[in-house]
Amino acid sequence: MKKSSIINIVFNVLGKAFGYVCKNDKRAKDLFFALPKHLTINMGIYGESTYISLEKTENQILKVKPTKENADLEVLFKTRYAARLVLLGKISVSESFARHDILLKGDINTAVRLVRIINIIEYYLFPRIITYKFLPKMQKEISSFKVYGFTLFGNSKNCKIDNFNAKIKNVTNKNAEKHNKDTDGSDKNLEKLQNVEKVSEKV
Amino acid sequence: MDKYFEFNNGTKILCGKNALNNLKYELDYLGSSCPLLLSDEGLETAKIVDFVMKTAKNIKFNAVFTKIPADSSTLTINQIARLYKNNKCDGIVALGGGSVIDTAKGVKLILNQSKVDIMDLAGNEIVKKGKFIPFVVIPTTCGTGSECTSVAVIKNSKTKTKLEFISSELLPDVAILDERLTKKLPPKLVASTGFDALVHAIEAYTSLQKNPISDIYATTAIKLIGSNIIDAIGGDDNARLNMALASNLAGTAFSSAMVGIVHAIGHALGAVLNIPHGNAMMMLLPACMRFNLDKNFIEYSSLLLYFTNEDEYISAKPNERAKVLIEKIEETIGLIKQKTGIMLSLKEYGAKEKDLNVVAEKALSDGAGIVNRKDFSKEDVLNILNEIF
Repeated sequence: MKKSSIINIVFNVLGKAFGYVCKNDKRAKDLFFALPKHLTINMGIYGESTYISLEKTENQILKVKPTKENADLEVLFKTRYAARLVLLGKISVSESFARHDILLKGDINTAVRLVRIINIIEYYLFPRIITYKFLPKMQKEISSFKVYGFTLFGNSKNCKIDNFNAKIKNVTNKNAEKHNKDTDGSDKNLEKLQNVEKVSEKV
Repeated sequence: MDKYFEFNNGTKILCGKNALNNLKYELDYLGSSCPLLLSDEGLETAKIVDFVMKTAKNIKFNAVFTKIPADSSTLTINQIARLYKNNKCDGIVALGGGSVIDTAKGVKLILNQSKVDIMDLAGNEIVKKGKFIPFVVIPTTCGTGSECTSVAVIKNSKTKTKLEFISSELLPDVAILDERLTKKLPPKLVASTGFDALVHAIEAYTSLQKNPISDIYATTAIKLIGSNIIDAIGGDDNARLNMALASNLAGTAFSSAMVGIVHAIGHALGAVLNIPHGNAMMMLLPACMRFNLDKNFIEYSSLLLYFTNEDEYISAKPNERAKVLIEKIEETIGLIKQKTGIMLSLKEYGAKEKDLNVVAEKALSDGAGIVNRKDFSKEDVLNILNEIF
């Protein structure tokens, strides 16, 4: 079946905006670093070939050649109509999920993070007159025009996402470890803290 | 009707006195003559497994497995699937609470999809119609409603994280609710599992995915819980059966309409602080209802009628009914605490302030939160957690 050109365009715009928004919006960046370090994502419509494949590395998310191979996460709309509702900003991804319009293969928690990133991207891509129906008001950390500009002329390969927050977190954690050792004199608190960190890493 | 929705529940329900006696007939009807019985050690010790075997003595179980852990895991499921094949079983009977039932669902899925590893099937509605495996569920708690949901939560043995499986293929063929099976349930468990059912029903009634059919199930469940939970804790048999039925109805409601923020945070509290799910639900419900109040005002107002009665509903001013509902729920929680001594603050479970951040981050990525009508941020979750700290 021939791909729908309008859906293909929106998927590709979304894919290209992904890296740029994750690099420049703190909320998206936090969600990006909460995703597994290496992740492949296929998106498309059930019964049709893959529309877009994304590959997430440690600090980049790249749009790669659409593949039929099994990805870690596969997000498929049941029909073209279902895809159009979301991609043209009629309803949110959450509402689409609620309508049983989305098929998902892989870890649902990872998909939820992805959905939250997509919500942020949609907030930049669509005018507020469209998003007010399904997205809460957010602070724009970059101009939407910059996002449009990047999707037209930018190169995702140059879009490296700096884990600045995680670095700060590490320093804070190290200070907390030091503080616990100093005040308690035992390693018990440190162990607890490390456990919490392990959980944080999983998250 | 301007909203598209889907509703699917094909589980036959047998509810009432001596319902369990029909197990043999139901298995014969489904074409199973030598099923596998699944349960856990707690029920074996409490002689519930023996009781079921005696009641169903004319059934030849080809294998019995009672070592299901508190958290059903991928490893256990793969192991049981091999046991099923090696013993040439032709059906599954699950006896227990949420963990046993979710494990049984996993086993059914892996067998009917002819897979070796359950991990290949994680996801939402990705599984196709498979081979028919007769599947009967006998719940022994009043809360999970898992016997009629198309959802299973299973721990990934390798990564220790919980995976969700959503598919109509997970729905059991028959659910048997027999009052004799909840007789030995301690009052604390009746309270916490009962509250889990209440949260299922309230969240199903207010979610993005709610629909007219799920609403009927949710409101009936709330009515049954509101009028039976205290008596059930006191040990009244009929009230316990009503709670088991309410749990089933609430399960059917949320299987279609999904849940919301209370479950999203509750799952995270379970994962990070090991707080029992039902207790977490009880702690979180009023705080989360206050958070959702502006979006769910109309729904909460109408639920007052179901949770209390006509007199209470009429005597409350229309614009205060939603708040009165929250107060009534808090009153019930207070009464339960008085009767059972259940712990209802995070500090009592040994939580530290630094844990809250981890819980909040985890709650944000939980699948349950996606259909909460009001979007929430990490700060919102932290505010709720501080309220119950």
